Amino acid sequence: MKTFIIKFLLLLGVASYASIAFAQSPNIKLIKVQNPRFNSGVQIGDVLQRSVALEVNQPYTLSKTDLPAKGRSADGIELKDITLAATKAGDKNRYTINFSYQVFAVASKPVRMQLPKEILKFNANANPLAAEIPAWTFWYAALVPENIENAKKMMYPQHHPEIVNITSHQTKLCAFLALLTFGLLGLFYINADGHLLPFMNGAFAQAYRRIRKTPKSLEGLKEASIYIHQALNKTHGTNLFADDIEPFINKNPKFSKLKDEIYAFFEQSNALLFASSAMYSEQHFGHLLKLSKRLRDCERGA
Amino acid sequence: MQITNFDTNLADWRAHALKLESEVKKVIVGQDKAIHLMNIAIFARGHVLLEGGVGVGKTTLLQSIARCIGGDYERIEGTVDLMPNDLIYHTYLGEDGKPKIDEGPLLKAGENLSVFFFNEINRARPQVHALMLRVMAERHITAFKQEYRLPHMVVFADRNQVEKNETFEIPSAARDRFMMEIPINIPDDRELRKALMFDVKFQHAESLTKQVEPNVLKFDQLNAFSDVLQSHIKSSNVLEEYALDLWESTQSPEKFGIKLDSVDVNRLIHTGASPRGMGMLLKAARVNAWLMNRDSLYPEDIHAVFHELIAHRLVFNTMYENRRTALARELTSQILATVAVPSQAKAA
Repeated sequence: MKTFIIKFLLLLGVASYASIAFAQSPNIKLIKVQNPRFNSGVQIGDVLQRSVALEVNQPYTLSKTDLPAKGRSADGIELKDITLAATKAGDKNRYTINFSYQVFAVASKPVRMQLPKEILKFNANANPLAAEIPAWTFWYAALVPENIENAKKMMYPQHHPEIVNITSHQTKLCAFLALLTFGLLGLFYINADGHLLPFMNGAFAQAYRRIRKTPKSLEGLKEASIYIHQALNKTHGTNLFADDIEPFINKNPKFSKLKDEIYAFFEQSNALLFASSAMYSEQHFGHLLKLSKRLRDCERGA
Repeated sequence: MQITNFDTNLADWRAHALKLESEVKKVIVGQDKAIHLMNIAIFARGHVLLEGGVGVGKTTLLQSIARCIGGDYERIEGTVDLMPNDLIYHTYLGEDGKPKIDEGPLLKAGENLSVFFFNEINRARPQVHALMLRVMAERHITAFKQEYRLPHMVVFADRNQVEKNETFEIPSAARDRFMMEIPINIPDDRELRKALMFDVKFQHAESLTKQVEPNVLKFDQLNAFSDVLQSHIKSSNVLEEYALDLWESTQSPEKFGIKLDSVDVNRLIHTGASPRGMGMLLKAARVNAWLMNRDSLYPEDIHAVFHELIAHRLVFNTMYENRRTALARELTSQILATVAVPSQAKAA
């Protein structure tokens, strides 16, 4: 194998040298060889342009009869068109030759192809010259994959996509939404100041709303106390006095955490309503407002 | 003890009043409320009807209180043959064999009489009631061509409501002269009952009474101090309106939406509380406020004495009289539960 590679490289070197020999004739000067820009992805029907420009010393002229014939076809490459432009520049003739090749090869997988080498001949009186335009290789790309088959063979019976079981997710979502709704309703129920629903209009809720609208004065302070008394009476079912607080708490245990505050309220209220030395106090008013709100929260089971 | 410095005197007297209660409670068990109410009556200078069965300790209670108050204690038993003059004098044969007349229990102690106990007053005839009630109201009597003054006397009368034979019910006008009717009931507490049965100290009433500290109060200064006390305790307009409502509710309970379970309240009341009764109610309530160390009257002060002040004053229609005790208790409870204070407060 190694020997083969060495031989191949030697042959390639000799061939290159011959080509260069043509090009290196002092009477011929190769100015330009322009091949297609891409050497891959070429498909059937594609047209590949190749342009060659060269100068020859006079008296040499290009032999037009030796130009490749239009329509020549070999190895899947057809010379579709060839144009020649000749000019004179001093003692030199300049030629520009455009080759148009069209690919007609058929293959089911990529194939290495080439634009054929072209030999241009120049005549003079005695010693003709030839210039060889080397071949240009490229990769032919198949239009369809090699293993393409009839679509019918590739068809599968139609299946519904597998349905993911979302019952547990639905259950969790419903539970979450129910909890969320319940929580929001609870917060709304506990904190709402208005009586948007009938069960939000408890005795202490009413008292709280009325106290908030009560003017901040001694008379207002007395009224605020009265509102709380009225709410206590309403909740208890009969008049509630300091001696009845214990039975009241036993009857309404949801107020048990405010037992001490209720006792304190009765003391303050008695002093306010029945003692001659009652005075207005902003702090007292705020305390009544706060107490009525806390009683309302208890009433709503917060 | 001079009635000069009000605040000091009020505090001193209050300490003495509380001392009286604690002293009596040492020997009388299970009657705390009755003792408190009797203390109130003493400082309000009102006479008291005691209601209760036989052998519940009324005499021991009264003797203990009399010992604390100081002054003299007299007692008479109501019987069907008791005549008014038996209260004034009694006759006997002297050592010389000649008939003699001596002062009766009402006059014997003179001005030093502080507690007069009329046991089973409803066994006495109306003539005796009439005399007794007159003395209670006027606190003086003329006998042996002279006037006997009884300025410090407080009458405690017991009426036995269990037995009705050979009794003379005290008419409503006479009942009204009594400031309170205080029930003396057998204690419910099992431990107290056990103590009353097995603790030998309760077997000797006389020695029991002697355990009470004597002369805790100055009986002859009670009238003057009572006036000071009454003027010291103030009542707000709110409370006065409330008291007026309470009064009206005893006359027309239906106006206040008061209902009783087994009785048509529209037909129950013949006569409600009298002006004198309501005056006494406020008087007793002021004493309660003072004992609670306040200088203003609260609704709770009225509640503390309401039933005992009002129940015996109510006159029911005849058909309900035989159920008086139970109905009166139910009615007064309903009045307190129904007539609201705060609704009146706006009038202040």
